[in-house]
Amino acid sequence: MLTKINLPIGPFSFTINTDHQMVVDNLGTLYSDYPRVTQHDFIDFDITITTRSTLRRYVKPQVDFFLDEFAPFKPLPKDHAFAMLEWGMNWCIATKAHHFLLLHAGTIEKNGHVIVMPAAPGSGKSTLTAALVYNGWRLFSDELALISLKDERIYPCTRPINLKNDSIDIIKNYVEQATFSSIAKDTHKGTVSLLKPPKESVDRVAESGRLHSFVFPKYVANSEAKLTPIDKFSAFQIIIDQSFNYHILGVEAFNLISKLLNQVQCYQFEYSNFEDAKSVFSQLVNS
Amino acid sequence: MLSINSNTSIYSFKEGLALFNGFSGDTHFLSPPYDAIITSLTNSPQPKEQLFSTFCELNDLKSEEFQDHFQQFVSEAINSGIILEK
Repeated sequence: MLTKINLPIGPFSFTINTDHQMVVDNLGTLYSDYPRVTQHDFIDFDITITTRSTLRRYVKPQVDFFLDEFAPFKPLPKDHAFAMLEWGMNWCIATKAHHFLLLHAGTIEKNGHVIVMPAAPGSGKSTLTAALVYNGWRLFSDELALISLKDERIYPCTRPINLKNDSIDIIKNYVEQATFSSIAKDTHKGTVSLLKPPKESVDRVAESGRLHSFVFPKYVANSEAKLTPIDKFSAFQIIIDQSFNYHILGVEAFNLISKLLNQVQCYQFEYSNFEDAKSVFSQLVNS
Repeated sequence: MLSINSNTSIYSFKEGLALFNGFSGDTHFLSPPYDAIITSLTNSPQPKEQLFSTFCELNDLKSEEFQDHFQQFVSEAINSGIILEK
């Protein structure tokens, strides 16, 4: 029997249907601060995560992800079900929400200043985001920046933070009382676990914000925190590279990025230490 | 006569010009001195020779040294659909 869970998350409404108890348990733990909705007026994404029938229930069990009745991914091992759900939710937004310019970016806010941190996978973006949002910053997303084409504001899509491999223990040691999902081992991204978002960020998920700056983060072992201004052409190129839908939005995206880049500063940021990073980011928005 | 393709969107930065070709979806970044060619053409279409003179004048360049670079730039801009030649 399928359990149905409705999740309003920022500008989107998800419905998750699943027969997998581990998915239900993880949703209950990581989304416990989200409003309980018995019925959506409108559902953007109707998702089903189901265990494969017959033999596959017992021999190397697998799960499928469906958006409506469409399965965009190959089935994954049953233990990866919750990670698959989160990746699938990202995919839903990245492939459908074209009223936003969508960037692969950590996005955080403090005192009305939104910092968007586009970066390639493995740059330390989610780890840095996790450390900052448990130290006074508001979480918009560790994975997606939603920049409205209509009003140029940044919209939160506050969801659990996807941590991989060494980052899981690093954040467990750094964030007191951090709540994590069950661990998925041997995924195509390595070992994966999701960190529950701070309640204050979830409570303010409807509050959009203005862009303060683009920061392109990179974890460099044993480095001192270093924030370096970069030229707008280099920034533009990175933003295009990290956009999910620049090629779809075309001139609308070009105009939006051009306008934003003429209004804000752009920086490269190297770090290895969270305390230094906190200090640099505080100075950035207070300067 | 050279002119800017009407499907080209142009944005000006301190570093130069960003251009978007609405047909191909390609984005180009032009630093000085070549951004001056596009800026000049956005003001009015011009014959190639006149454009070259303007380009050298604006940038205080010696024409014989930049003739080849100019030709190459204009050819590439025509091939990429940023500049039209009629």
